[in-house]
This record gives sequence, structure tokens and C-alpha cells, in this order.
Amino acid sequence: MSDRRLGKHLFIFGIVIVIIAAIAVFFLLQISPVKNPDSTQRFYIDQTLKNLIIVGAIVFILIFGSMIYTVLFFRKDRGDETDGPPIKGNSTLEVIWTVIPLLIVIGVGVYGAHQLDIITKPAPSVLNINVTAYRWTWEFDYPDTGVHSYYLELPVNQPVLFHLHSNDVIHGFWIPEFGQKQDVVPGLNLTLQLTPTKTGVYTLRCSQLCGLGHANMIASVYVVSQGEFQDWQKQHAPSATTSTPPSTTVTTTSTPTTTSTSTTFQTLASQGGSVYSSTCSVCHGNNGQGGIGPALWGSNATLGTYKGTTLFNKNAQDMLNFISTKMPLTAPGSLSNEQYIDVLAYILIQNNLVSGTAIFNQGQLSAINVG
Amino acid sequence: MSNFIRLGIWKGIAWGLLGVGLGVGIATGARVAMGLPAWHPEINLVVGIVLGVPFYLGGIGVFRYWFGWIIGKRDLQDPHPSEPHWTRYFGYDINHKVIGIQYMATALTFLPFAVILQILARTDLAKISPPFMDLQTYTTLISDHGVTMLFIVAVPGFAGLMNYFVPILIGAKDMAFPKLNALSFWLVPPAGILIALAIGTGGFLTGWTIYPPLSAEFQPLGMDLILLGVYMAGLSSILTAVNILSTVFKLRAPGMKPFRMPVFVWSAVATTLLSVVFTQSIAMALLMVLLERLMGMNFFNSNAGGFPLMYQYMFWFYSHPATYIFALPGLGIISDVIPVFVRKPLFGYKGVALSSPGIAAGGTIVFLHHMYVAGMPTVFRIPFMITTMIVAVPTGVKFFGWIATLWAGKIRLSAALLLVFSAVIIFLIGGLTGVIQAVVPANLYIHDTYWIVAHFHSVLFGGFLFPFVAAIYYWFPKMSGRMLSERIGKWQWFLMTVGAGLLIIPLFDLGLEGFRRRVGDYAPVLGYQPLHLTTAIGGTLIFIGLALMVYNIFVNGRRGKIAGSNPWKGKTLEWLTSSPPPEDNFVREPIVVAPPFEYGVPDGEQAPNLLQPPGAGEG
Repeated sequence: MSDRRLGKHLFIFGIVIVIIAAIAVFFLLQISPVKNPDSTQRFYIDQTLKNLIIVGAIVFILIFGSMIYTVLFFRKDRGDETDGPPIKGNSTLEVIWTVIPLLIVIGVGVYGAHQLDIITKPAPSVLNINVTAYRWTWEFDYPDTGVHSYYLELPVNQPVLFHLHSNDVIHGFWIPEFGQKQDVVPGLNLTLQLTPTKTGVYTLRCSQLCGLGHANMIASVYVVSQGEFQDWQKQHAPSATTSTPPSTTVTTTSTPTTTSTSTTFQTLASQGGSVYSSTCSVCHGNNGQGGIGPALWGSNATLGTYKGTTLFNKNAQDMLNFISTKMPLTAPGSLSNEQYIDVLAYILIQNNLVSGTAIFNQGQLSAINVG
Repeated sequence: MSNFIRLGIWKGIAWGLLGVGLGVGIATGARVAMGLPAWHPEINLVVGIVLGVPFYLGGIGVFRYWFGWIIGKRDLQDPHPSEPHWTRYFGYDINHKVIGIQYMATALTFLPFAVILQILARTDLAKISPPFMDLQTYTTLISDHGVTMLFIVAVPGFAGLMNYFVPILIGAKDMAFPKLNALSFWLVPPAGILIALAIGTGGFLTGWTIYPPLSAEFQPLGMDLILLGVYMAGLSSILTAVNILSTVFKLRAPGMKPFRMPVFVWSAVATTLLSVVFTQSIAMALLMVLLERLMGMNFFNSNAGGFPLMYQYMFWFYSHPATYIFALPGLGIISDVIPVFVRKPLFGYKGVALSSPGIAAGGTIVFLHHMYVAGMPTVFRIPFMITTMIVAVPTGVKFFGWIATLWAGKIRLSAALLLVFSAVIIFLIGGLTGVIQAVVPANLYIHDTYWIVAHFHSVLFGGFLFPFVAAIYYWFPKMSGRMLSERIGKWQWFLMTVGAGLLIIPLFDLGLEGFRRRVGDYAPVLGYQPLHLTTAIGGTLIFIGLALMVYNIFVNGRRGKIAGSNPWKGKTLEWLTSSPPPEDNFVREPIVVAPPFEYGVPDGEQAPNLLQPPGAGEG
């Protein structure tokens, strides 16, 4: 093949590849714009990822495209059994394709270091929260006010410094929407700084395999306004005795803080469902199918007995007594009385033991047979 | 039938079981003497296995010649049967070609096993049916998949190819230490069996990384079997590495200068250097976990002054270089196969060859990029990000060399070359995403998500699986003397390539959406089922492709077209001897006169007249 034909091939290939790369970059920019982020850190992480993926896509198109091109245009002709031209190399070309990637990766490295610097820069004033992880749940302490909680309540736009402790194995502290994560290592005092920028409900997930309950080692995270956060802290300060669900809990009905006579089981159960998924599902499964703990409804469920042992006397009042003193296993009695009733209603309805429209009456619970 | 009864492997198994019994007996006796309860399954069985393995090796016969030498019997003859016979593959044999095939057969036995484990787990995770396994089973299956694939499939698979072809490619008669070679191989099957048995003995919930304190404190008997199995596979890997290094350094044929060696040999040197330097680090770490489990030595228990992260430092000190152990031989295969089917010299051969040790050298100082969020000193984040990304430079040299070789060539689209093309593209995806995740801000998010899973599956598909299959299509005619069906090969290429795409792309998507790895349960309302299902389908397609290859080998190994000595018209030494090669590889000593890829040059073979015995055709 003559040098002129090779030159022509290079020219055509160059034009084609530039066009394809331009189109690809255009679409990449359209598909994943950096959205209004849930935390300051997530914004810079998204930005970094997006820019890196664009650079990677260009390199991918260059190499993949040139392979496709060679397969299309440099196949052997039918019946041609001769060898190709004995071109062994070209020093200039080889130096170029060593130096240019080196410059690219150094550039990427400098960019990455710059972004990391922004993400990890310590904020002048932070809200300190002590996090304790153990198999398979989380606890949170607010040292400034002494509040202790099984879910996270965070004020919006306030840098938070988490002090992470583990009581048993290595866990991982990660709220995906907030971007960065940090492993929680027994014996080490590690910290993680996050600044939530939007109010809403999020989920903290364990990111480091910690055994059987790892998949469901989660905790709810509520980002609320500064005012709501102050109220929440006052309510939950150690002197206060009342305990209500966090103010931003997603509810579909009006919040029943007391169980009036006109409340139906369905109303309670809609509350109970969210308590169940944030607290009980860790062990009993998202669909009550069981896991570390026994199944609560469905074909495998044996309410009231576990591995042959009778747990309670087969009526709903006993069941309520049982769960409110024994559950959740990692922190018995840590829910409010209302939350225990909500969960009870939810489980009864899932088992079709009561009708959703039936009126809830605590005095008649012992008449509901759960065996 | 009498052949079957006389197979060396039966004797090994019998002695091995005897050793296990003896070890269990000793442990039980010792416990009784110490006033402890007699039966402690973990301790008693681990002592049994530790004693059973040397007994089994002795039963196979691997120590016979060494012990004979020690006690003065210096006239023991090497077993050196002249006839190729199938019984050789089931007992002690020291020919490197027999051992190479033993390795590859072991890898190909455990490969479908490990794939099935993962397909089962994936199908469960896709939630298309009610869950048919609990979280214990799910986590055990994915963990065992990883351990089996890496230590019993990838490392032994490449060890088999290196065993068979490195001596031939450099013109040697055998490996430098044939008896050591047999010992390295016979350590692998019991390691594989222990790792498989871990599923039935309580399982283990640690992933393939086996991080303490989780692995040290809360796991059943299966964990001990994994630790012992990986330890033995590591020992085998070190011994193989010593052997291959000695072979390449000392046994090259006259004229086989370093820059006349095929790239696969360069890669083998780089790989084995990494093995011999770093494997001891993971071996020690695993031993420490075992001792903490069985004897209460609190290496990693922070309540007793231990340090959990110590394991991770030791583990990744090996396991990052190990990722190059899994991939470098594959890149060597790609570099050697392309010129043959493009009929052009490898473009920039010296650069491509040197990039293998270059990648290996760079890969030794990047291991902390696995621990950005693990609690390591944060000051090392930036330096390790830079070193990691610099590894991309020698890797890029390989890619550009391959493309330039293809350019203006005369491409013959054989099954082997198609598989190599897929390997290049999939490895490219793995390499580029590797650079992306090395950047700390990106890693803070994608660490421990499916992005990481997608990345290392790309690297292992492109660096191990596809090149390994390509090597089988490329070298099978040499190993058996018969051609594999190209038609089946192209179907296999199609299924595996589509399967790899379906498997990898949803995993990247899941990772970017923040789906954590190693979780066996998620709320169905999150809507991840289609992505997991696609991945399961991709894995199944790859499995079907691999099954086609096994069918192809069994049918065409006996009835395929006769290959002749040089079906692909290669120029390297293995194609200049008969198929399969004679017991000592060459009927006359090769005198190497040319670099390996002299395509388009008349008489470009590496060594002339190799098929003629000495004395004939001289002058």
C-alpha cells in the first residue's frame, strides 16, 4: 500500500472520528447536566465525574473507532495470502503517544487534586454529630444538646462534621445523594464533613460489607430548615419526655399523634409502613419475607412462634407488648408507643388479620387472634 | 480399567484422607489432654487439613525424588514416559506441557462452577421470582465466586499457558525446575476443593477481600477453608513464579536475546516478578486472620490493641499488583496474536515489550488507591492518585501499538483475532474507568458501588477471560495437533461479547446511581430489577459461550482437522516444531536468528530448519 493511500486513509479517519467525538460529547453534556445537588460535596463530585467521563469517552471513541476502521478497510482481499508491509515502528509516533497520555493524566491529576481540595476544605463552624455503627444499625448523638437518636436530623445549609465510631466490624458511612463516603473503623476516630443543601428525606446506607444484615443496615436522614431543627433538638433534649416522629416524615394522611376512637387501622398502618421500612425491615425484610429475623407475613410467616418457641399468647395485645419491649432487637423500646401501635397495625393488615377500614380500639386488641 | 485404578491421583487422595484423619486425631487428643472439650470443629479440621495436604502431596509422589536424594538414593530415574497417554494427566508428571494442560484443565473445571454461583445469585437479586436464597447464601455465593475466579481460575489458567508456552517460546526443553513445577500444580486442586467446600460448611460473608474484624470474628468454618485454600494457591503461585523466572533467565536458546522474545514471555516475566515479590504479603495477612480465629491472637482486634486496617494494607500491597498478575499475560497474548492474523510486524515491538515491566513497576506503588475512604492517612490520597494514573501511560503504549499494527495490515478475521478485538475494547473500558475512579473526588462516590464491580469485571474480561479463550483458539492446534471449529469459535465470540456488554454496562449504570456492591436485598420500589436482570442474562450468555468452547474442545480434540506444524503461518518458535511438540519440544536445539514478528520479510522465521533432526539436511 502506497504512502499516498495511507495518507488518504488517515485523513478520512481523522475527519470521521472528530465528527463522532463531537456528537458524543454533545449528547453526554445533554444527558447528565450537573443537577441541583443535595449537598455541596455532591456538586463537585458530579462535576468531576462528568468531566472525566467526557475525557474518557473521547479516548474510547478514538481507539474503538480506529479499530473499527481498520477492520472495515484493512481486511485481506479474497485469495490474497501475502503478508502486509513490514513496518516495524516509528520513533516519533511512539514518543508522541507516550508523552501526550502522560500530559493528559497529569492534567487530570491536577484537576482531581483541585476538586478534592474544595470538597474536603474544613468549614469554619460545624455541627458535630457522633455516629456509632454496630451490626446492623446506627445511633446518633448530638453532643451540643445531648440528643440521642436512631435517625439523623440535619439542618439545611449547615456544614456537619460526623465523628464515626464502630463497635464491632468495619462499616461504611454513606448517604449516596450527599456524595462522599467514609469507612467506619473500630478503634479509629475518623471524620466526614457534609453540607446538605436541600430539605428532604434521605437514607444512610452502610457501604462496607459487614455481614448478614449489611444490605439493610440503613437509617433515615431528614434534612430540615434551621428552625425545625432547633425545635426538634428542644423536643428531643434529654429533659424532654415526649417523643414524636420527625417533622418531615412523609405522610399521606393527617398525623395522628393520639389514637382517637375514629382512627382506622389503615390510617395507623400508613404510618407504620414507614416505621417498618426504616427500622424493622433490616431484619425482617422489605416485604416481611424474613432475613436475619423471622418472616412476618407471607407463606413463611409464623407469627407468635420462632424456631418452635412461643413468643407471645397469640393475640394482638400480647403481640404489642412483645414488640414494644423486645423490638427492635438492637435497641428494645426505642420507638414511641404510637410508633409501636402503627407498626402493629401495619403487620396485622399485611397478614389480613384486620380490615383496613376497621376502627382501631386499643381495648379490643386482645380479641384479635394472631395465631 | 487397570489404567484407571492406577492413576496417581487415587493414591494422593487416599494418603490425604489418612493425613486429615491423623491431624483430627492429634488435635482431638491434644484437646483432651489439655482438659478442653474434645470436639471443636474449626480447630480439629484445620489441623487435619494442614496435615492432610502434605500427606496428599506425598501420596501423589511429589516429594519422592527430593527425599530419595536426601537419604542417598541418587539413582532414582525421572518419570519420563515417551508415549503420550491420557493417564499422564492424572498423576505425578514433570513435563511442562503435561503440567500446563493440568493447570488449564483445572481452571476450566472451576470456571463454570464459579460462573454458575454468580448466575444463581444474580437471578435472585433481579427479584423476578420470590427470593430463593437467604442473605447468608447470597453473600456466600458472590464471595466464593470472587475467590474461585481469581485464585483457582485466573491465576492457574495463566500459569497453565505460561507453563506450556514459555519454555517453547524461548527454545527450552522444559522448565528450570520440573519437580518444583509439579509441586506447584498439585497444590491447586486441593485449594480449589477447599474453596468450593466453603459453601457447604457454613459459608463466609466477607467478599473475596476477607476484611477482618468481620472475617476474624463472626464467620463459620467455611472462612477457615477459604483462608487455607487461598494460602495454598498463593504458595503455588510463588513457586511457579520462581520457576518461570529461572527458566526465562537461564534456559533461553542460543540467540534468544531479550528483544527476540515474544511479548507473552515479557509479560510472563513481569507477572511472575510481581508474584514472587508480593504474594507473601497476602499469605501472611491470611495466616494472621486464621491465627486470630483459631488461637485468639488479636492482630486485628482493636479492643485488644490490634489494628483492623493492618490487614487492608497488607492485602492490597499484594492485591493491587495481583490485578496485573491477572491481566499482563493476557495483554501479552493480545500482542502476540494480532501480528499473526494481520501479517505485519508488531508496531513498536520494543516499546510494547517494555511496557509490560513498565506496567508492573508502576503497579507496585499504587495500592493505596483501594483505601481512599478506608481511613488511611489522607495525605497519601493525591500521591497515589498520580501514580495510579501514570500506569495508564505504558498501557496506552500497548493500545497504540496494537492499533498501528492493524493499520494497513491484511486482517484475517479468525475466531482468535475476533476474541482479541473484544478483549482490547473491554480492557479499554476497564482501563479508562480505572483512571476515572483513581481520581479521589470521583472515588469518594463510586467506591464500594457497582461501578467498581463493573470496572474490575471489564479488566478481568479484557485482561484474562477473552485473551485466555483467544489463546486456546490460537494455541489449541499446537497443543493437540488438531484444529478447533472456527464456526463454533465465532459463535462463541459473538455470545461472549454480547454477554460481556450486557453484563458490564448495567453495572456501571447501577454504580453511578449509587447502588452498593455486595448487598443481597433492596427495596423493589427502587426499580433496579431490570438492570440486575440484564446482568444475569449477560452472564448466562457468557456461560453458553464457554460451554460451546468445551464442546468444541471435546469434539475437535479427537476428530478435528489435522493442524500440521504451522496452521497460522506464525514465525515464533512454537510454530516451527511439530504439533503437539515432542517430549523435549524440539528435535534439535533452536538457533534463534530473528525477532519474533518478521511478517512481510522473506524467511522471517525465528530459527531455521527446526523440524529436521540433527544430521539430516545439514549443508
